[in-house]
Amino acid sequence: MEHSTVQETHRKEFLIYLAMAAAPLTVYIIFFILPNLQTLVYSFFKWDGVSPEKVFVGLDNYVNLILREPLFSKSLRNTVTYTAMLIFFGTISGLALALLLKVSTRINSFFRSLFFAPGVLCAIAVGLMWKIGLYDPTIGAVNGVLKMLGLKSLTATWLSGGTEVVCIVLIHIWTFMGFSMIMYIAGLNAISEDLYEAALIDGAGRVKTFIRVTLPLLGDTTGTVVLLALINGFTCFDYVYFLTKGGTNGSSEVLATLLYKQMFTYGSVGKSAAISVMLLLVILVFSLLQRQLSRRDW
Amino acid sequence: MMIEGQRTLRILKYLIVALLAFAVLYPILLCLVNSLKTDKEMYTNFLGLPRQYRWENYVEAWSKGFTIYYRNTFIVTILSVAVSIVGSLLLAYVLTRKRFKLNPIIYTLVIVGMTIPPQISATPLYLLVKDLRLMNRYAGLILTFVAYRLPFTTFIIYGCFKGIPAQIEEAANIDGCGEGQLLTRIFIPLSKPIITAAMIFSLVYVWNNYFFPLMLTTTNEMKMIANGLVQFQGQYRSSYTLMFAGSVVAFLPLLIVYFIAQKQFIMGMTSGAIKG
Repeated sequence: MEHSTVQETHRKEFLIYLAMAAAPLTVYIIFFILPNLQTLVYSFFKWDGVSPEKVFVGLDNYVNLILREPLFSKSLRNTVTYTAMLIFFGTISGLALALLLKVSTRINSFFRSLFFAPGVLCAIAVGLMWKIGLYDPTIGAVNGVLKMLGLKSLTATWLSGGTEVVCIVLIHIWTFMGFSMIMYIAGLNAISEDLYEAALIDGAGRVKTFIRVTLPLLGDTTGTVVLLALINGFTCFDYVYFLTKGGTNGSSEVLATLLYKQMFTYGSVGKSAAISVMLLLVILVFSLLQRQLSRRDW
Repeated sequence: MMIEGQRTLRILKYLIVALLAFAVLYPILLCLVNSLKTDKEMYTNFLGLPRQYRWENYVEAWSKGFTIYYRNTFIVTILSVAVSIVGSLLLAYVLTRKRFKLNPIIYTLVIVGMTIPPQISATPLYLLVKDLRLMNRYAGLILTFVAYRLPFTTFIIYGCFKGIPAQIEEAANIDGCGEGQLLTRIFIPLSKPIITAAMIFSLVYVWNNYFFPLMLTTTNEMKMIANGLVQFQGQYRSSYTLMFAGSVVAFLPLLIVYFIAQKQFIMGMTSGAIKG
């Protein structure tokens, strides 16, 4: 029987390779890689997306946004506030819940499922239930409870004025907590019991053990959770756009909503793309940072 | 003495946990409870249980268009998940099994793609879909979702495939196993949990998605559940109970599925982020 030459086998392998990888790669390249690259390119042009003229303007879009667009600095500030709160409260709440529920018992599994549930809900349904059920000035539970406690003066219209960003990020934290909890449970359970025994033998109290043993060993987990909270926070869109559309005069404008408006309301592809590139830079920088930090041996 | 003290602490701890759980689920409970009242009762008795359960509210809310929204979401989700999983399996298989010069490049593209959220490529994607005449069509949404799910799904399946020892492959080859069979008879069955996890994550992602349909559909006929709910609350905002009912109609089905398959859901939605 004739054996195929090495070359023919190679060719056959290559064709199989091509056949298998071609379809998914094509979709990936056209609908993901290409648009992302185009974002970079478009950010250097002035274009409205419809007319055939594209004018190369170099860094003008960036300069105009940073220096001359008042909504940009507002949205940057709001986005940073939003992200900071999401990171801070998202990690702490997740860790606290994880500490309470780290052992895998049936009752703990039950509670874990409960705390994770908000993360499975559709953002709009969540936004709506918080908007009417809690934040509504007349019937909402927040004002309702305040009135019951006799603190009528503290009631407010939560989703307008200065309190918007905080109120919206609270909703986001609410959906993020369960995920953070699961991550920390995995992280906590990865810490060997021997270490706790050793700390006990060395006479360390519970607080000291927590600070000196547990927290450092949760470094990687915290890194991952923080990074995800950061990415979600910086690119947050759904809740803000649905609940306030950016608010009056940019009171709750965030970078992602500004980016969207630049394209769909003001028709400026270039500025929209410029904001996207800036977001991308932030994400890339912090992703690399987290990778580097997690590789070090502390 | 020691045991009793520990027991009290335990009970205390679970009391706190139960309280926290109630606080966390409160918004959902509030929504459920008030969706069953009449408007009048809601205004007078907001925080309490309904005196009469008005199940008709759900029927009424559903009739305002949710049949269309659910139909669209079903079609788009099932197709997107199916196509992206098949694509990921092929891609992951090729990346693990074949050594070609292109592999590291493809792998890097996959990794980088995992961290990039849709807002970054929003504008060009919109223009692209428009130019391809795929606006307001299932294909536009499906291809987009497939492209966006591919990196993460490929990554975790790749991790799983890589862990399959070479001996199994060799044994299969000796038994005369062809390429396709190797994939379907050996790799896939061995990776079932990971594949299930990937499917669930993608399912939730597509099902609840708001951003892509917002950009890529303009007619009510093509809206998915999230956008449908926006349309709904824009039109019927005069009745808060109806709006609550609409929310419930939007989130309850998936929530029920979640409670049935909790473990798989939780594993699916966190699997990529947990290393190993």
